[in-house]
Amino acid sequence: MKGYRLTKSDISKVLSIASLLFLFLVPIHLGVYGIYLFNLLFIYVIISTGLNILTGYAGQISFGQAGFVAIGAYTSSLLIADFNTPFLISIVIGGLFSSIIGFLLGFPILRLKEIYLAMVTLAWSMILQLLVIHMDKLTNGWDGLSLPSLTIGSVDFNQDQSIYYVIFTFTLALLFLARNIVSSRLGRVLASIKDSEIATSSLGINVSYYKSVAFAISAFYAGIGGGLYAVCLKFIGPDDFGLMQSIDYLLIIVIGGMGYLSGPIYGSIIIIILGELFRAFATFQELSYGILLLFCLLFLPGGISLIMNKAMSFIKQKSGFFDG
Amino acid sequence: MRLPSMEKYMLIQITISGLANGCLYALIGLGFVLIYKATEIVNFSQGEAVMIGGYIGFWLTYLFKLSFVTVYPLAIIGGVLVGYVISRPLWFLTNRKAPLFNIIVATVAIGMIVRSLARLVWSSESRAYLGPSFLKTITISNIVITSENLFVFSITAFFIIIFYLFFFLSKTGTSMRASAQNPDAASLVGIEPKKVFTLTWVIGCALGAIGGVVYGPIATIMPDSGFTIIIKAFAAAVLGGFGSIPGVIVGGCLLGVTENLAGLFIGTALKDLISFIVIILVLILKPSGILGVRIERV
Repeated sequence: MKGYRLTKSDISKVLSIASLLFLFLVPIHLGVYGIYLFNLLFIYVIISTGLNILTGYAGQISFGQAGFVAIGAYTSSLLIADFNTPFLISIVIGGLFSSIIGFLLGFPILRLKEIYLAMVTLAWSMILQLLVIHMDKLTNGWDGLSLPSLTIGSVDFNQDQSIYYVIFTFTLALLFLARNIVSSRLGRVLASIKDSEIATSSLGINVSYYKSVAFAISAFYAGIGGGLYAVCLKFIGPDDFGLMQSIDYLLIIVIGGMGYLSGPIYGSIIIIILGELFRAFATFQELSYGILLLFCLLFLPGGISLIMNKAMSFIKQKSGFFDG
Repeated sequence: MRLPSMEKYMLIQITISGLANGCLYALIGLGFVLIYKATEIVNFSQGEAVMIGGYIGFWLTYLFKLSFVTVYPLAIIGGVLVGYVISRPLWFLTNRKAPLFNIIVATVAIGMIVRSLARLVWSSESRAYLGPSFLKTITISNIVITSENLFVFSITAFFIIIFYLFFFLSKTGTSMRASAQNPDAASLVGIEPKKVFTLTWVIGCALGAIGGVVYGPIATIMPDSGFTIIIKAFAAAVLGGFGSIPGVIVGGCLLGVTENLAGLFIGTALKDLISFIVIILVLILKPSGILGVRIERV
């Protein structure tokens, strides 16, 4: 009988349980600002996981992810502020609304080749931002929207710690969903679209439908992320959803590793750390993002996930311990 | 529709100043289209070449009081340098057959680096300077063509003619066109792909820098102005038929006029919306643009 062999998935299981425990205990020991950073981290992870499904798995470019974040954020904020909808429901409605728009938008634009797609998505998010600025009756224009206090029944959700657990739960659920999407039939269809659209359609698969579905999924993640962002900051303005933010999400998946589920997590951590290092110097922040992005594209196309995967298999190979 | 005579003049007036803006979009879009045609890369850092050209124009005309005869050649040299530096990492990627997505995002990254460096060196303040004023303002029965507009028309025409002569008549231009049409066949007859690649970027960015010097007096120059103008150039290229050189000139002029008329009828606040709407509508409804270049659809 063979001895028990510790596999790669066992290592990652141990690691993920440890990090889950760590993340669960985080808010007890951190101050308000630390909790805020973790909230931001999770929101980045959610949004870029959606983008990763669209770009990393299905091979479609979006330069306008911030537009969907804006739809989610404004929809849920308006629902909370004007209709007194419970905030958890508002966030989900925001995500669904954003994904419906993504699905409808996907049909005409996803027929275009990647460069045109990049430009159309960019233009669409810029139009959305201008609309947010100019439809000031609804969105309050440049002044932005503030959220009232959040409660479910008698539970107060205004404290950073309780919001942390809400966002944490959403992140876990959405990461789990992403894992299932990727390993399901849908995920395989998307991967084959990335490899060859012609070959995929020759198998009788409706390519444009599945591309729109991928777009809708990424819009759903962005919308949920937007809703959580609004709930976390209790204030949103047009500046939060510009081109720079869309590029940030691309940056996250490129640095973290496109087409890896762990990519958005690594990328978001890097972005948060860099953002904090250069918090007082916005220009250096953009410079560091640009240099890192260029470096990853030139020398590290698989991103951090690739390094981590290689390191894992290296450890497994070299260490006799794991062979039992 | 019968307009009172005053309003008719105003309409013509606005069309003329829109045409001047349009010439600028055409000039900058030309470099954009050239790079796309020869290398299939959409250069998101083209706007940064424009911005640097604008700053060169600002130093030389405002600080050193040089005449435009020296400013333009120096700006071209600046654009050439920028183009050379930008093309290095991109050639590295192209040579390794990196996916197009990576190359496009690399141009975005380069744009970010250049923009933030500009912000560090020159601060985010906007700079303005006057264009040359040796041309006389022309007045034809109430319609005024200002000397600034006249200068924009003539300088754009000048550089577009030079570009055409170079691209379609010179040997280097012909080898560039050959390489754009079929890189493998071109390299078989001794056209070095790397050389053509670098040359394309150098010329594209030089056209951008020229556009920047023209742009400076019309608007103001700041590190972020590259992005505003590149969207317009892209819209111009899309409108005319992406990848078509006459198309981008026609599209640019049309876009400039449309924008100004929209500013008159809808309001200037939503003027910037026009180029975004043009991009989306043209690509969805008639991706081949006005001059009918076929775009591959899936």
